[in-house]
Amino acid sequence: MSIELIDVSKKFGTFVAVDNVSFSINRGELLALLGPSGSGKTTILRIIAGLEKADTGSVILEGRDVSREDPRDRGIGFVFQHYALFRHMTVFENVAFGLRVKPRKLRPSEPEIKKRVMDLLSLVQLDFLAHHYPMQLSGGQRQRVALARALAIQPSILLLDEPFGSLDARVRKELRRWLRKLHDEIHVTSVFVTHDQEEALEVSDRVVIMNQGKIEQIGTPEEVYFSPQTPFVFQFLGDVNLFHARELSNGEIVFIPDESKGVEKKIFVRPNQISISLTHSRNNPIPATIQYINTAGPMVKIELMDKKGNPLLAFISIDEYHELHLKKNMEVFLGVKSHHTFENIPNF
Amino acid sequence: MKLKKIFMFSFRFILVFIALCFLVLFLVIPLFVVFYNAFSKGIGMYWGNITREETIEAIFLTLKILIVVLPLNTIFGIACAWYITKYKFRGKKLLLTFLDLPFTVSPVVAGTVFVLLFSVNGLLGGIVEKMNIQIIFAFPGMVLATIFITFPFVARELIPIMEEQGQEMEEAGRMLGARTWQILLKITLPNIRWALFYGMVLCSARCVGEFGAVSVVSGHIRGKTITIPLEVEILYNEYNLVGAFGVASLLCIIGLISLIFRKWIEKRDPQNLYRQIHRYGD
Repeated sequence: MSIELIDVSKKFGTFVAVDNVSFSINRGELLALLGPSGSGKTTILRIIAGLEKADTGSVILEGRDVSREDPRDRGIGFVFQHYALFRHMTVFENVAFGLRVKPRKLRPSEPEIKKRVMDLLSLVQLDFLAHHYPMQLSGGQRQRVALARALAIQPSILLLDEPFGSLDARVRKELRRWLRKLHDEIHVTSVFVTHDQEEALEVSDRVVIMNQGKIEQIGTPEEVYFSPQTPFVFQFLGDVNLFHARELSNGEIVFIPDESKGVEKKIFVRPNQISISLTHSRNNPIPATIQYINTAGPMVKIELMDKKGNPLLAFISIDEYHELHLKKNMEVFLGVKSHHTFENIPNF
Repeated sequence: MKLKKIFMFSFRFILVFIALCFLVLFLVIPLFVVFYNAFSKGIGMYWGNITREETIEAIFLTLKILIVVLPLNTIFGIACAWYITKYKFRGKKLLLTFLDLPFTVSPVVAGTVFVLLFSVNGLLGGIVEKMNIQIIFAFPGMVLATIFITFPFVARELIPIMEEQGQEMEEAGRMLGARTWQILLKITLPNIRWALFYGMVLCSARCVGEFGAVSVVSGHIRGKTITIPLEVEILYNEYNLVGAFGVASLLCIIGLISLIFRKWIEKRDPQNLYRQIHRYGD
């Protein structure tokens, strides 16, 4: 089912949580709402679900305006951040709940309920825990029970609020790949909220990046990562180096500027787009001192400081690191392989 | 170092000593006195005292009041706690303050208010007279006074636990298509049942033991409006000390049973169990 938000705003007291937001989600899509905490992403999710009423604007599901409809009539499955499992019920009863509360006419028979619940539990690979209570499960298991429970009512939309937020790093990675696979199998329109950019970029078809109640950019993970439209997006999706360089009239960018020539330009560079050389050259004009080297990981992370005292970050390959014999407090020269600039940057 | 240790030890000793002195002076000795006096003329006399016609009548009247008050205050308590914890509204703090009113206002004042309200010249006296119901100095008045005194108990027990549990479970129920009554019966109540039960025990104990407010509205009509605590007073004023302490011992026994109930509930409460077993996640 497609989802469309038109001019949705929501205030809590004087705090503007969602500020005139419009976007649409295609049928069968897996969309990530990404942003720092307080950016309004969870509020949007709750407005789609109907748990929160928008002050203005409307929510349209498959062409039907549901803004005034009760959440229970919207056919939406919701997975809560802290799972919200019914702790007085077994895993089986948790998943069966949505079927058991249906009006008598629509309620499946007991054997049907049993079959459907067990099917769902095997889908989330937890059928062996059917008769355990939520408090006997691990975080990852609870999360999958919550997912099975939400899917039991055969929702046309699945909403997930920080689905991996309270899990440890390893389980988190495992579970998000599993969610992607599951989505490819059952193809239900899904929206999930996250503050983890890696998660959003890895799992989703499209990403909506939010900041202070507004949308910064919407696009596929490739689009937002490689062509960020605002400094916020660029900075939020990874580490950033900021250079105050100058652009000459012929379009050339000068990093060690002569203040009299050209116009000031703010240059954004990812750490892996910085090259390090031991000698000064045209391609490596920026002198800097190595502050700290971290070799643990797929790339070597090098923290540096330029002549004005600005901190810089460079990622280089381990081979390159060994070749250069880099050490702490060494004087090196940096070059910029590729960079981003933005027009009209207020207060950045 | 050693001196500090000795100091700490004696400090602890003094604290324990003060606490014990208080306990003995204000709890153990009075309780002992009640039972000692009740049985001072032998078990036969004790049994005679607590099975006198007036005493039996008082017990029945007290139970009758309890049977009316407890369900009403339970329903009120659930409704009130639900409203306060699951909804956001203006004046929530004010409502919470009002909820404590019976704790802070003297029961005598409460009783007097009801008398003034329903007496012939009172605010509601006219209506009551037209409908030809006797409220003051009769059973309905005693029920009203007891309701007022005991209404916060259930709500006060439920509010903290419902606040702690938050609304996520109810919201999950709603998203799964449950109607409000289904959410109440299948999600909220099972999760608060032990706190609810405990609140009901406290409410009952207070209901049975209430003296001040009930005394004012009862009018002390023998054989009609005398509850157990009022019976104790009457016997005491008639210098029948053994009888008074005999009936008083019934109240003590009810109080002790409530305490045992409380311990039993605390042991069974899954909230407690939950904290003990809770090892994973979060």
